[in-house]
Amino acid sequence: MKRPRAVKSIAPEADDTGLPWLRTWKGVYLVVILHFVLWVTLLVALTDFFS
Amino acid sequence: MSALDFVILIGSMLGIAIYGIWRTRGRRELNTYLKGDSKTAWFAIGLSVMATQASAITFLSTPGQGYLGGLGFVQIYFGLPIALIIIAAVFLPIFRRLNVYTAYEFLGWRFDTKTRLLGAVLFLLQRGLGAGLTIYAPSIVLATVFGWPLNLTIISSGLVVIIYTVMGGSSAVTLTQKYQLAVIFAGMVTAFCLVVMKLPAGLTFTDTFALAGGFQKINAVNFSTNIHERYTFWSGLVGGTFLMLAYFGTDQSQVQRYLSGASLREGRLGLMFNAVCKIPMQFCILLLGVLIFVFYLFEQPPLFFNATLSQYFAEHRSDQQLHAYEMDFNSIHTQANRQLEDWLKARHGGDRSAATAAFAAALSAHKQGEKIREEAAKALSAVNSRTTATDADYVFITFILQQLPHGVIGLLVAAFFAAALSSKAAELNALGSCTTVDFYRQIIKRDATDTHCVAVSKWFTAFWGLVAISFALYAHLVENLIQAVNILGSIFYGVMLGLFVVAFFIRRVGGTAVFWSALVSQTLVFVLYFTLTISYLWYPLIGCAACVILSIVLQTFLNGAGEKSEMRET
Repeated sequence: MKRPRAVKSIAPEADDTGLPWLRTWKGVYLVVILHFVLWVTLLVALTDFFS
Repeated sequence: MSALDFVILIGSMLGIAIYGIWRTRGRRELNTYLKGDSKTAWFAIGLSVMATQASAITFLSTPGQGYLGGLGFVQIYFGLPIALIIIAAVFLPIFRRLNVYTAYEFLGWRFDTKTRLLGAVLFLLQRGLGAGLTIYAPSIVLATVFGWPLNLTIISSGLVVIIYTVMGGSSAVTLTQKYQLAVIFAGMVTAFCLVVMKLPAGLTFTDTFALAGGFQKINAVNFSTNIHERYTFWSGLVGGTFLMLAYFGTDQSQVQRYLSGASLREGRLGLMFNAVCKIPMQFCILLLGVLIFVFYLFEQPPLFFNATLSQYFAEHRSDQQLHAYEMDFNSIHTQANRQLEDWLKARHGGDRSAATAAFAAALSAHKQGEKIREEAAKALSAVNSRTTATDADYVFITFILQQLPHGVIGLLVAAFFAAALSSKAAELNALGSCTTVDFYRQIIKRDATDTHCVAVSKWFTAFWGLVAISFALYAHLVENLIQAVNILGSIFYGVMLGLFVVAFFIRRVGGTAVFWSALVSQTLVFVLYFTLTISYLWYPLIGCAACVILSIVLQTFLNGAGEKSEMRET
């Protein structure tokens, strides 16, 4: 049987984002998630207040 | 439209198109034509990704969706930030390291040629049909603005987009999208400000939201666990994640955009830009539709927003019958209007019981008005079932033409065309490049030179443009354009995502197992779509899960069969 080719192992992610306050990509992703949570909270509040 | 509108429309559109073609003239290298010059900065990538997704449908149909259904549609984007983080962290580094032209090349590298072609076929089918819907949207604008036959506007606007895309290639698409997006944002912000200014003088910010909320338009988040409800927090978060992961991670029209980045960093930041901006942007566009709804509670709306429906009604039923429906509708609307004015007075006077009673009466009158609309629509469909399409897509353009000043009309029509050109060009460019790289150079002519491939890619781009025009001629049958695009994507994207999930994360599965599992899963999704009534947002999850699970099971079976066979040989 032909064995499937495996994906090459991914090199460690370069942590330098070039951003002044967020040096690692994990930090950038966390800020994006927090921004999303903030927006959902605002939308829930808007729905509850005016429905 | 006045002369001023035409000057703004033609000046902005021609200016951007000529600039893009001039800056990218004479490019003959396949790499540059298909992927751009790989020098694009994160902000341009971010705008390009945004402009590719935000077609004319987004700006034409989404306010209509807000007008009819309120803010609930925003939940479809709840999965987008999560999906873009996964793509930035996992998909993008691998695509860049392999230096692929198309996402499906990766499937060929990881599995085999047949799986690569299957991925490409699923993309071509889905995007080829979806491209028809995105051509249809600007055609509605043209037909409404100029009163031309819809089929003529579909063909003419489709041909303009084909010429523009064929001449420019990927570089021109990325280069011009930021200017097109500037026109779009200028148009939408102007429209938003003018709608707010046109609301009745005594109506405060909280009055407006309270009014919209009373008519169930401020329903932004719904935590219902009923899977038959189309837009809920859960369907948006879970189903939406899979839908967006599939769209941004496996649809060549998007992959091509972020692969044009100068580095991994630029691509990632471009995606994160979208992860942050998309939900607020869609919220504002839906809110625009809700504000137009509130505006039309105080101003007389037409019986049909699509003027051609009224014309058709008058021609095929009778003028008197149409007039009778219009009289009833207008009379009910006047009643509702008076009740709302009473509600406003009682609310400002602090009389809560009077306010509640007046609002209940206004709500009841509004519902009667909607019933009259439904009866008129039924009478229309009795004459010709093809005219039953709702006119939600015409709400915003009707508002623009009837309520906004000259100059602004030209700017907004230019915004629709900018949106159509930017997304359509990216789609056709991706369809052409996928057909060239994954089929032509893979199967027909393996030793083709770059110059030859660029020429072939242009022909394929034109071919897909013509397919899109043909499909657009039937797009009037869909309920609402923005929903139709997402439904179409939901049917195909799940399995396509399943192929990539297996490729990235399940190393022991090979090409044969994933190929047959994908075919079975796609058939399963088709069957379920036509038999179940669950929200379409769940199908990407179902398709992906089916493909992954079947792949693992089939690979286990194949491994067992392989081992037995090897044992017999020894």
